[in-house]
Amino acid sequence: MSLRTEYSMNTLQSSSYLDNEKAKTVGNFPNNPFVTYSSKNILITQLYESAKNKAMDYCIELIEMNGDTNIGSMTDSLCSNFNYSWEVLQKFLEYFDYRFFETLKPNIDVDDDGEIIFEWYGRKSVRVNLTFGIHGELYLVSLFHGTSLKLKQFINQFSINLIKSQLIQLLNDKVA
Amino acid sequence: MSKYGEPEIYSRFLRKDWIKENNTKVHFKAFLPTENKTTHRFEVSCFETQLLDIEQIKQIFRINNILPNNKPPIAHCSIPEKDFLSEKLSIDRNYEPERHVDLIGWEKYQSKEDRNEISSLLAEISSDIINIYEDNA
Repeated sequence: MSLRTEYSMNTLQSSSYLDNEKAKTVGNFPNNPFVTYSSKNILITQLYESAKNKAMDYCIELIEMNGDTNIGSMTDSLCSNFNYSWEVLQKFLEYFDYRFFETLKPNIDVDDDGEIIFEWYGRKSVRVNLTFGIHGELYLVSLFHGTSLKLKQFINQFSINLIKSQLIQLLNDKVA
Repeated sequence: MSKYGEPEIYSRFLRKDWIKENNTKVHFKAFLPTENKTTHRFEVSCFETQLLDIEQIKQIFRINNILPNNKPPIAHCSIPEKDFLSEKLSIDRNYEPERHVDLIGWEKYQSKEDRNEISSLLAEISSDIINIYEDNA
């Protein structure tokens, strides 16, 4: 493994999220005394670990497919995009009720650009996926029994509500 | 028109991390197109597998292994012609190697949300027919 690639992998491992004080201060849900800041931090840590492992797997795969030479820029770009995408995900979690992710655990993956993807599955013909774009945008695709909805939107009340409604729809369909 | 008979069935190999929900769902990443480095065209590689049994299909994926480090494919999923999104994509029957086709026409869908949507539709359709290779799983 080249020094550059090794550096990229280390960058993934030492992302700034642990030092991010903001992550420790969000998640205040005063209506539920059982929800604490720490439970949100545990979730954030789990999400990060899953996403980081996927990104590292993809880096290794790139090296296996392309060889160790001239791969540095590809893995650097992937790591850099991953870190931006992670920041967007963190921002998203400031506005989105993270308890959804406890009820509906997302399948976590990373796309070829290094952007983090969440995907949820319902019954036949039902799925929702959400990609955290590196420039702060969210990409949502929701398939529901023959209808499909797609959206590219920044994090705002509209996108948060829409994502919430799609996940509730999926959850209701799952338990129906 | 296929030279291998009708109706056509398109099968795509699956990696372990593309199979979800107790082998009932295919992750949409399985159908995200990749750029062909020679032609710069975006495509999803598949094989026509009509009139073949599971063992014959497994053999095709083993012979034409495209996973790094010779990792064997562990499953495949299939899309029958009747369910194929022909109004959205088309088929390049190049038959190189034998039975190989590419799902093309992705240039119409430049944005990430468009490609994610088409890939999700293909993944959902193909989730109906997932064949896991017990010997490799």
